[in-house]
Amino acid sequence: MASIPGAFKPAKRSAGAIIGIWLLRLFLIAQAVIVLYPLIWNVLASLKTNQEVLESPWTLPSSLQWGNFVAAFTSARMGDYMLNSVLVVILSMAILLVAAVPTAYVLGRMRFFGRGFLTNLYMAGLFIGGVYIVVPLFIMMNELGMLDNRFWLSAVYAGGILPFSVYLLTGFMKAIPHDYEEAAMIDGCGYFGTLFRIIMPMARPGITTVIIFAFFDFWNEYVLASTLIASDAKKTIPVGLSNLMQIQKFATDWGSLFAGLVIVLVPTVFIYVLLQKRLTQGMMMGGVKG
Amino acid sequence: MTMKRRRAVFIAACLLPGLLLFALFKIYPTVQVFHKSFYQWNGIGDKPVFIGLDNFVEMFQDDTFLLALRNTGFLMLIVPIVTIAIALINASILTRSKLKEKSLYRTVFFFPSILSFVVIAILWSFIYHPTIGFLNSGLEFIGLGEYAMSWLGDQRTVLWALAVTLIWQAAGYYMVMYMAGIDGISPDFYEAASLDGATRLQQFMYITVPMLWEIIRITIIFSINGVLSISFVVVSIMTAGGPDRHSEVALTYLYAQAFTNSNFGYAMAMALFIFVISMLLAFLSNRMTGKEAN
Amino acid sequence: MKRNKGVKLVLALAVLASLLAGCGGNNGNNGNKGESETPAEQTGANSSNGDEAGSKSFANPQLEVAVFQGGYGREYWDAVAESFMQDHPGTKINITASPKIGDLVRPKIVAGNPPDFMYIAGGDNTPVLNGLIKDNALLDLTDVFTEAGEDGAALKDKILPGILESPAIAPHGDGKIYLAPYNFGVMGLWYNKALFDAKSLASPKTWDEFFAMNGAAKENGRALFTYQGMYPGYLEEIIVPAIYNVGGQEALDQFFNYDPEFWKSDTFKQAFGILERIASEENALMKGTVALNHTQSQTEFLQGKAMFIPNGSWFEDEMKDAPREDGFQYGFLGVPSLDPAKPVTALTSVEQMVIPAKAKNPELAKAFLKYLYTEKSITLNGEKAKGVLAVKGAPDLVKAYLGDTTYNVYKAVDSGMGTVNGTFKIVAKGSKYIPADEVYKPLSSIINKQMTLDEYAEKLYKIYADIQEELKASAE
Repeated sequence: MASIPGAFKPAKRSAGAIIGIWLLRLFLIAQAVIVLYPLIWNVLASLKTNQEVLESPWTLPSSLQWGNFVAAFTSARMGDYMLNSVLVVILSMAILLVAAVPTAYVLGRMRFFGRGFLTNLYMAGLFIGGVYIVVPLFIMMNELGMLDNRFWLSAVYAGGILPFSVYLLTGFMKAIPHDYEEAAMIDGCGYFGTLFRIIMPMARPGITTVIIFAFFDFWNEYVLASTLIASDAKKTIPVGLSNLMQIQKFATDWGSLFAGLVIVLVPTVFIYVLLQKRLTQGMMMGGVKG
Repeated sequence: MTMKRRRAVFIAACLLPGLLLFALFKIYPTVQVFHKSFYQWNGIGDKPVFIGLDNFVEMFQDDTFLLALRNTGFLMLIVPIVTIAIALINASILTRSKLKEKSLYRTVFFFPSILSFVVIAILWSFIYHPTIGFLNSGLEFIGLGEYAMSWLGDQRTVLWALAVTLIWQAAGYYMVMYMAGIDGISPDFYEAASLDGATRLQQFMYITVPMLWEIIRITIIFSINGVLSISFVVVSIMTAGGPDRHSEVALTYLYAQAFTNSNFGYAMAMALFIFVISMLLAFLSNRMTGKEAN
Repeated sequence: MKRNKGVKLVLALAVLASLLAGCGGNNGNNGNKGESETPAEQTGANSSNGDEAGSKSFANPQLEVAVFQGGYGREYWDAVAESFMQDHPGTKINITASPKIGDLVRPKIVAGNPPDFMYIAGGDNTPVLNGLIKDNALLDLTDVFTEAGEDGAALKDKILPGILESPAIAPHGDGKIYLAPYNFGVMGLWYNKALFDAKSLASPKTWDEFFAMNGAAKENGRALFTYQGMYPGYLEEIIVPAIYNVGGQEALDQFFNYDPEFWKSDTFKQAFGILERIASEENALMKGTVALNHTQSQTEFLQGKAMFIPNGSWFEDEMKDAPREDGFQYGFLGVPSLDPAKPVTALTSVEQMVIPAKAKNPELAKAFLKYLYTEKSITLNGEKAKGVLAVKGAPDLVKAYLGDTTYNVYKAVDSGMGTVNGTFKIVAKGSKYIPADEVYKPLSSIINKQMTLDEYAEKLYKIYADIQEELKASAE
């Protein structure tokens, strides 16, 4: 890189600059291969027979084993796990929004006693990772009879990402001009009316960002789900997958394991491609403002 | 109801759901970590017995805990540094160069950070697989077969292997953050620098890095915290702490003490210690990087 | 139940909770399959046992049973409960089954409302069992095994010899039985029988013969040995018989009851020396072994990458889907002997069933337990779970349901092969040590030649001394 002074100047391109660009390109392509190859391999492996998976990682499947996907859905119950994951994601999202949006609104736009304290409290919450507190959380939920229950798992998820969401949304709320609210109040909208009819639509980009972040967080979460959910019928996909890898009953069926991985990947990829721009934009906002 | 009263009710109603969730699932468990770390308790039948600082004393005589702490420390040092370096380099290449397909690279590089850790751990355990893994078969393919080894089965390589997985997972995420930051830097700086004959490397060192310093500081803390929790998933799936605990990390050991050994009090003492350490690290790295910036 | 607790909590969340927890509860209740399937009209079907059942009615006919759903599945429990209810009209058994049964019963135990009967197994769950043992929270079952049954013989005479005296069953060393034996397992080394027959190789009787086969292994393009590297605990299948072989029961007691002097003994050096030899001899250990998990290494073995692997009687069933080399046939040889004068030995294990001391219906639970040892139940267990109860003659009763190899493994133990079993004594409450981890995990380092036997012995000496001290302190 050091050898290509002024490469970005739109003027004349020297031979050196062109070589430089190709070197850069090579460097980036190599990285892209490192990122993508494991995923491509995974898709290929999901279509191979057990025997083929164990042979060479570089070959193509000789015939496509769609049966792996059938097995993943039936004997490995990926379908059930998927439904659980969807249910948990929806529940968590609902709880999160009910909690985060009003909180951020009040913290971001109203002055009242204790506001600074609460803002700092939520900031401190950013540092309490789910994994430290999983043990006391388990004990508390045990005592309150909240274990092995998808609703309470969702509530824990919502609580987990709440500080981050409040922090992110507060920034958005602050950026909305005060005139709108005043006009709404004068029109007799009331506080709740203002929040729902005026502020929420205006904060939509922020809310969408929170939803996207939360989605990936909820959809992929493993530690809490594996600790707080015990019965097989209520497991979410990541836990189901690690079972697929570890529990003896299915562990020798490599084809279904990789089919299971693909089943998890597909919605993730789909949503990512769909929302990619918004996601990276949101991340920039979240990151840069911090 | 007076206006003032209505306002107060509204504020309370808005704050209540959040506070309830936050108090129940974050604050209360955190308080419990502090409290129960002074007790001996198996979490099943018996009443917790107050034992003062015994758990903490025990901790520092526990070779496994100390080893786990060392392993965690290794990952918390190596992973953030390398991740951030790669992310910065890629970010500056992608923003400052004229490559047509650069948004494609951005999409691809960011991709691992949205994958489930479980998926990543399973995939990488096959990459490192001693016989069918494509790391070893790739080495053989290019004639370096003698360097093929069981990466996860050897205490000399296991932590590095895990570190690579963690870096693979996170580099794209920080890259996107830095790209946003670089976009915010006025092009005039680069223009002026290149007129003065500064090389791209010099521009990177003297413009990009200092201008992004605030973001870098934050991402260091993010990354340290991320390593702490992600390493738990990756280790429990890829190595189970092996071989001979050389990849045991603080959180996997804590988890085993709590759930395998029913030693909840002891586990909480470890959690408290790790919590304090990571806060301290965040604080420290903030101080250190802050000074450097001046 | 969840709903009530939710309401107690807090207003705003609870309104939402009661709406949503309801939907979570409905399909989550998969544990009670038997509930709707016990039609009253079936009770007449089994008239042969009618008198007995009629004469003995239970004050409380409800029984809550919690079982581990692992390799043996849950079908046996559903079937045996059904059969028990038919033979004892009016009784009602609810079965909850889960791979993580420990997590399901833990809250009930804490609340003082445990199930009446539990079968707990599997690494994730045994901590709950150990907790109950440490807390003396199990019902004394001695009378179930000593009192004379209907045929006049005591149940204890039907159980395989040695089992009821083992610490897995009588954990406090006072001869009192707190855990009832369920499935019986046999562990040792396995090989490819087809290969041995084709090349006219004889299975090794001593460790010297074992190592002498390294040449044959190499000729056939494989390493001598592999094991479940990520989980070095599997090496107990070699270590425990070896200790017993050299030092007898005395040495084994030292090992399992934390006598630090064990680590200075000659027995230790000989038994663990096997591993050092595997680590140092060329071609003895399959490349990459230490990094493989159990199914990965077992698949490598089936593919003909290694000549021997340790595993248990569940092997065939566990690997039924895995690809293997052409003509592969399971062969079980037990564990070779170090002392040529002594027989090949296999490690045995037994799974445990318990009745909590706080069970609400101990009387019916005991009756159910006894029922499990009847011929009918033993046969059901073979049919539905492919399991073999730790009862004399059980392998023959269920022969039809077992693979040939599996049957032969049990039969080998029945006819001449030595057996040994043992478990680590429970450590003191609050101890940080997980004995099996302390003993077996460092074996990876020995196999990797990154730790010598002396260093290992020194380390374990300290740990054993420490565990002893903790036990003494807690006894005071």
